[in-house]
Amino acid sequence: MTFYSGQNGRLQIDGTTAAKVTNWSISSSMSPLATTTLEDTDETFVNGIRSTTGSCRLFYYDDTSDTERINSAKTLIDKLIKVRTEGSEPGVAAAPEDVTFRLQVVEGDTTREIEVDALITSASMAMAVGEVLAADIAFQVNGAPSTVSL
Amino acid sequence: MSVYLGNAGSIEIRRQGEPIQVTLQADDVNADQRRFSVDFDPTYDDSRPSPLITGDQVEFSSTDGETDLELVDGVTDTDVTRWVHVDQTGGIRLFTSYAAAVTGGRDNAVELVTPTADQEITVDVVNANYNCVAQMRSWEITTQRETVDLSILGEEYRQFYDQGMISGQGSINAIWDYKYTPCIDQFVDDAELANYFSQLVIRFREGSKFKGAFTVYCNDNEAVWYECDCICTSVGMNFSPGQVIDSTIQFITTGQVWLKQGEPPSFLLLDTDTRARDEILLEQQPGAIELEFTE
Repeated sequence: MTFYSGQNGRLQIDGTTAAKVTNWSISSSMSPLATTTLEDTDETFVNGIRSTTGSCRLFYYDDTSDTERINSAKTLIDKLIKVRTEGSEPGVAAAPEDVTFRLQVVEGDTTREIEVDALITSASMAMAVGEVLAADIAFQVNGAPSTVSL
Repeated sequence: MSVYLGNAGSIEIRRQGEPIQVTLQADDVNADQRRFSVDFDPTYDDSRPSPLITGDQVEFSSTDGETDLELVDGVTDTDVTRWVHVDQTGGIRLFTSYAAAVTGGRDNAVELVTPTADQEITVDVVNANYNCVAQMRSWEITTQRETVDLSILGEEYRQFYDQGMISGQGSINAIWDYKYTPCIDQFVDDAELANYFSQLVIRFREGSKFKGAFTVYCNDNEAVWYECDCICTSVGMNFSPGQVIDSTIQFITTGQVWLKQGEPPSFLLLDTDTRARDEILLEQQPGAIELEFTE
C-alpha cells in the first residue's frame, strides 16, 4: 500500500510544469435529477449534469536566471487579467484565455493525472506582513476531463 | 569556556507613556495645598483612575508650544518636567526627585501658582532615568523569529523563508511590594517595585509601555544586556498561606530588540539626580543621545 502526499504532487499549465505550487485541489459534483412520481414511497434519481471546479496556490516567484522555473503565478494571472485594447476605451480588453491543467500525482516514472481544460474564474493576490506573496487561483473546468488516469 | 550564574541578572526599566492633550482648569489648581487635578477624560461622566502613576517623570507643556505654562511657581517656560505623586482622588503634586515623589506630602512638593485662565496642555510621561526592578526572584526573555513555510509540491524537505518578523516576550517573577521603607529595605529608594507593573497594566490612556534593559551578565567593566521597548500584558499575583505574595509580570516586546555588549547601562550618563553619583550633567529629553560615564 502506498500513500501519497505533497511530495508527490505536481501541476502542469499548458504542458509546462508550474513552479512554486503550494497546493492544488479539484472538486467534481453532480446534481441528481429527481424522478419520483405519485405513489412512490422513496425518492428516485437519475444522473444530472456534472460540474468540476478546482483551485491552486502558487508563490509569486521570479528568477530570471532559471529558465526552467518560470513565474507560473504570473502566467495564470495574465490569462485572466488583460490590459485595455486601447487606452481611450476603458471597457474593451482582450478576452480571458483558457488554460489546460494537468493535476498530477508523481511516483518515480509513473505519473497519474487528471487533465482538464479550464477557465480561470478568479485570481487573487494579497501582500501581507510576515507572509510570502502568493496567488490564489480558482478555475472552472470546461467539459469533461481530457485524461483521467488516477 | 566559562559558566555564568544567574546572580548578575537584573532588570532596569524606564517608564514611558503617550502624550495626552487636556484642559488644565484654573480652578483645579490649589496653590496653598500645592496640588492640582486634571480631567483626563472629560467626555466620560464617571471617574476613572489617573493615567499617571506616582513616580512618573512627567512633562507638562502648553499644547500650542508658544504660550508660557502657568503652573509651577518661578517657571516661565512653555513646559516643565517634574516627578508626580498621585493621591487616591487623582490629585497631583509635583516633586523634584523620584524619591520625594514616592514619599509624597505637601511640604516637599513644588510650589504652584494659580493660572489666570484655563490652559490647553499636553501631559507626557518622559522619564529619562532607568530604575532597577527590586525584589525580583527570576526573569526570562524569549526572542523569536517567525518562519514562513515555502514548501512546495514535489519536495521532500520542508523549506522556510529566513526573513520572518522578529518579536520577543518574557516574564518577571518578583516578591510583591508597593513602598520603599527606609532602614528596612535592602534596595534603594529609586527602585521599581512589583506594584508598579500592577498599576501599569491597568493604566488607561497612557498605555502600559516601558523600556527595559535586561542584564544577562555584568561585572565592573562589561555587561551583556537586552534592550527593548516592552508592553506589559498581564500581572498575576499569587496568595498562599505562609508564603510571600508573588507577582508574575508578563510582557511582550515592541519594535527593535537589541542585544548589547559593553559598558553596563548603569554607568551611562543619565539625568538622574536621585542617584548618588556625580554624573548628573545632561538635561536629557527623549531622543537625546546617551553619553558614557568616564571616571
